[in-house]
Amino acid sequence: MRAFAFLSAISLALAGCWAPSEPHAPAAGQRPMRVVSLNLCTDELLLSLADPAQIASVTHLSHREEETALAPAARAHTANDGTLASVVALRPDLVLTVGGAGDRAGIARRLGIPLVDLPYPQTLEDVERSIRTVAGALRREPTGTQAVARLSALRATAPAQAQAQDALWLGGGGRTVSPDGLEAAWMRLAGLRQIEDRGDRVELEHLITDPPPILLRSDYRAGQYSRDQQWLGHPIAARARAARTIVTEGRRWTCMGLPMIEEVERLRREVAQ
Amino acid sequence: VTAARILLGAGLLAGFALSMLLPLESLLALIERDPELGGMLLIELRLPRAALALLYGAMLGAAGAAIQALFANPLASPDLTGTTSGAALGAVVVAYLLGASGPFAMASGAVAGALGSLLLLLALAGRRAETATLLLAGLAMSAMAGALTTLALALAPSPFAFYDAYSWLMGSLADRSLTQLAFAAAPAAVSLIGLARLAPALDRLSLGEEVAESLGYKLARLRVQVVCLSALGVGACVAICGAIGFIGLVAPVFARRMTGGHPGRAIIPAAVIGALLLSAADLVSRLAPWGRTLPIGVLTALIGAPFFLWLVVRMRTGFSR
Repeated sequence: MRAFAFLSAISLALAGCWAPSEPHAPAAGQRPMRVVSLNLCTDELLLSLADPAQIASVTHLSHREEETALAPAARAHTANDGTLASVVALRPDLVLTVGGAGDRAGIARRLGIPLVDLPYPQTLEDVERSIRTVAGALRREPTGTQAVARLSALRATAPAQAQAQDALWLGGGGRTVSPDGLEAAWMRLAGLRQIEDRGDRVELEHLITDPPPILLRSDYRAGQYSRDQQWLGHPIAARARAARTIVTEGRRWTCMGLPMIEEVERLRREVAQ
Repeated sequence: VTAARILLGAGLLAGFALSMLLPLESLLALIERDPELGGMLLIELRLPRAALALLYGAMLGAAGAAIQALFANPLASPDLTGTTSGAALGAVVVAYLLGASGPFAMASGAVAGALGSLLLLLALAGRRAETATLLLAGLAMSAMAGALTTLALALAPSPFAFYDAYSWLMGSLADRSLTQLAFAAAPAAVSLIGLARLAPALDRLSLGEEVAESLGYKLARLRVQVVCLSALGVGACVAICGAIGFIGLVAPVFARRMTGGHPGRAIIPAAVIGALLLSAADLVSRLAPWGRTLPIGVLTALIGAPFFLWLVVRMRTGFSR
């Protein structure tokens, strides 16, 4: 294991033509100024919380309009392919990632690169924790506190559970979400209650025999022809309408981080109409 | 034999009727609430699903019987020879790399993939392959097609191509339209009729290549016909419903028992048994009380894999048919 990590460190060092002994962590109390993110979800946190001058690289996914609402800001920064090897040459003084594939933390430690590996958020409290963690690592605590305050305000003003309206989140191919998951928690902030489902996909038959009062339809990659979008083009899908259909911006639901605040505010207004 | 035919015919009708009507409660409730929508449910959703279950099952059964007759090997089947994985590769390349995910483009890609797999297998394993050679060549073909499918999805422009393709690759008959049914039905019908017409030649082939040739059958042409017809039907069905395993292995084994071990004559019974098996698997996946629809490919594999192992044990202990 150690030998593997050693070899990985050497190959990464060679990939960047850079000596691993050189210190890269910022001095204590100093802001990191070459921050890279290896995941779309940390891209969104980084772009929302950091001073643009601190950002060295974000993933290629955040350069795409289809994937994140922050794409225009992301395109100002170098793209990476989500691997440590692709960013070593940038000499990062902080690496952000989610769900730590492989032994990124161990390799980064050996290379002297501070790495923050966030867990996948399961609850709104996890989202708040991620914001605070990233803001702290960036030495941008006040910005993090402001972001958490926005989320807290959204939670404080959420419609009461009894007033929430039953709805079904629906994506291409019949994809839906768990009534107990983070998606459902964001829906509740908008005044919607995800109804019980039959797994992670809804069949058209289920949709027309037991239609939900509100269909919350994701527009994720709606303009792209795919099997999932083809499903929405089924002749009966046009008839499989709920009493009301609300379209939601699908790209914000991929990470369910800070860009969700604006979307929930918009949805709340639409639900209330 | 007549009683068995009547039983199989009745089974087909029952399978179709049950697929159309069940679950009955929700259908009746919808017809009462909105008769027009109830009619649409029957025609636009349940009809394609019931017909695809019968058609795809029949195609797998018939192709399995024909391929087993061609290789003179009871372990040859569309999935174990890499035909279905080759078809899946062709469809994935066309849909996710080339961006043409319409039913015609995908069916064309799948047919080309299945054809390529079968031709490569013939070249690798030989005409009358030994069991071990056939299985090894089939395993290699399936592994290569699986790896290339993963590569194609990894190189696809959409970062969520894996997720998009996953449920389809696992095999599903849900939410298919009449148009998709037509794209599977036309090639499958041509293939089924063509394979049934080859039954006498395949029966003669079981007596040996020299005997078959002395009776006037052209073996090179027969091989090309079996390969092309199997690829056409299986490929078109895979493009619409994904890869469903083991039906093409199980159905011919039962069919040969009904026909006294004649591999050619087993093609039609194998088609009927395959249709019944897939129809039954679809009903179980829809109606079983676990609160969600399971991928049908998982169900057929759960039944088929133990059957495959049983077949291997029987062959070791002298099972000859």
